[in-house]
Amino acid sequence: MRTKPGIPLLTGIVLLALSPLLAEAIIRRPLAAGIRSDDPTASEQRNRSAFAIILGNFRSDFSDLIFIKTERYLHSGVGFVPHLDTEAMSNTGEVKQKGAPGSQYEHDPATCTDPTHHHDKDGHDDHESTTSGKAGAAPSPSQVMEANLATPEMRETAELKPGEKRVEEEAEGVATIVPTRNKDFRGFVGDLERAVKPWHDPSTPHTHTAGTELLPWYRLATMSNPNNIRAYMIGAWWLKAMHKEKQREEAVKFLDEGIQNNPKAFQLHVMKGVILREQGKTTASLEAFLVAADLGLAQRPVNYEETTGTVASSQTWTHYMEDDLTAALNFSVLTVRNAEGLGPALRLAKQFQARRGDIPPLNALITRLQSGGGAAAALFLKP
Amino acid sequence: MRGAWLIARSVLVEAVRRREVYAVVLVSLVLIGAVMTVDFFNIEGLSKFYREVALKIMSVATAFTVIVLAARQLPREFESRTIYPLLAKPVSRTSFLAGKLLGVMLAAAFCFLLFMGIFLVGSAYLHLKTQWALFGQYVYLQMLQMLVLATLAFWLSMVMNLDAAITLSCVFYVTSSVILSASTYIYDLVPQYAKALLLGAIYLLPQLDLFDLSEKAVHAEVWPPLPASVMGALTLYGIAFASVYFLISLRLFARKPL
Repeated sequence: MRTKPGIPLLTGIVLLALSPLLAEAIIRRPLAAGIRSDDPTASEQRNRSAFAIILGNFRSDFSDLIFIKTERYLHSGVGFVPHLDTEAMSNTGEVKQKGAPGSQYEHDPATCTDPTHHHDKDGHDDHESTTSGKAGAAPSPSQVMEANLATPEMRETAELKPGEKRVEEEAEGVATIVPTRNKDFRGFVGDLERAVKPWHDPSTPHTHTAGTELLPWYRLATMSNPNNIRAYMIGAWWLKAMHKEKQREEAVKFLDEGIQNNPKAFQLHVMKGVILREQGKTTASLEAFLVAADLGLAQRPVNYEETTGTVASSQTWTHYMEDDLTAALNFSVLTVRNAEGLGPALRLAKQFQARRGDIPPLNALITRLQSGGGAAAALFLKP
Repeated sequence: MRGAWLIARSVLVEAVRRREVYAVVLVSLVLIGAVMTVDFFNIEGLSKFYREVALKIMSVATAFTVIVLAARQLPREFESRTIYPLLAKPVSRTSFLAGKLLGVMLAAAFCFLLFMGIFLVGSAYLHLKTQWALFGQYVYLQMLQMLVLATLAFWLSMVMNLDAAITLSCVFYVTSSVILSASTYIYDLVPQYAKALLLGAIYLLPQLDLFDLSEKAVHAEVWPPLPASVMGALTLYGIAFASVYFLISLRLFARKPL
């Protein structure tokens, strides 16, 4: 028995027309922590795997592609064994390196030859958390905040305009994905690849290029995954680092979009507050810091172990988040101090302390405020 | 020779008339245009993103066009029986195949020229500088890559059906860069016999990624043009593979009963 050819076609058209109704049946929920693209630890591990290195640009996830692009764009296209700490970059903008399989780089201050690492910066070692009390004397709130926002190296790179370059004075010693001649079994083919692809001998200084060229990739990353908080943070940092009012406004707009998509991401509020503060919008920046502090305090696990930077019950609270929360608290308190005086600032700090009493930098700040502001606090947040 | 040229011209004319090339160019143009309409924070002079996206789309589109065009040349002649009157004329099979290859390469050049024209207009619109020497080398190496791909598609189309030949050529094109980078990573981890196999694969398979200068073209402010010795070596490398594939295709074609 033959079916009329028009019937299957008509059925198909009707089904296609009805397909939007399926969207109503989809349960929409925000990405939970731990889901593939949203979990920074999983992302780092994934992108350092041999398989990821082999695949190169073939990635299923835009956030993974961004990982590759960031590595390549900052190094003039040279493919290094993944070594940038994107978690640190999202919080500090710092081009910080991590040891990687096959890398000649070791994360030991005694042997580290990386000029981007300051083992004694502001009285602490940047191999460790910038949270106070890790090494030597506790840094002041301003030092914590400055360390959290930008390193001199990063500022220098960020100030490069598109098309400009800066040659490192010393070699970083990080292994390249295309191996050196003496480690390459491919002979003639390897020679050709080293000539055709962006490559340089790891033992020689290499060239850094403008990180602002990465901004379109971060824009696309947030379009493809609006829950990519790290892309919002790094993108905003690069915009802020351009030191232009127009770009600061773009950064605030970008962060507002991020906040709209991720209302509980307190880091975005901190970054927004910092940029608004740079714009001289004190009231708006205080508002952002207070929201950040409120959200951060609500999310901080009760049993966060300050000394080790680990959380017993949750793997989602990193020391960078702790630093961001500390920044939010400090900025809130010190902005109030500058605007309204010591009394209201102290009251606000004690309110924060009452909610979570186990934040050493906050305790230290309260002590300083109680002693009349203190020299360290006076350096911070000049009106 | 004249016979080969006439065949080449007919391939080119057909490719141009069939409008497939324009469709590919148009789709690529829409893709590039769609990406470039995104507001990237009102920052001017962001060249790398444009270069990377545009060059990648153009390379891939041209490669797929060449594969499809090359792979269908011989099977279609047999299928439509147009090969019989052609070979009845004083045209040798070598001239016939050479003409087909030349025609495919001319069509590839036409397609790529359209793309490059669009790319340069886009660059001018965005006020981007072009490093002409490096860009010229990029175009030349792309054409070498197309030559290898075209001859490979000829060969595959002689030993399998059209769909399989196209699919396999495309798979090889897409995965060739992975083969090159994977080999260095896994070499130290495999037993001796596998090391020999890897070395064999590296030398026996054409490493198409070696003809892709787009990464340097993207970061052109840092990289100088390739030395003449490297360009010469790459030319010989490409021609060697293309010659081998062409000769295999010719041998298979010569044995094919008419």
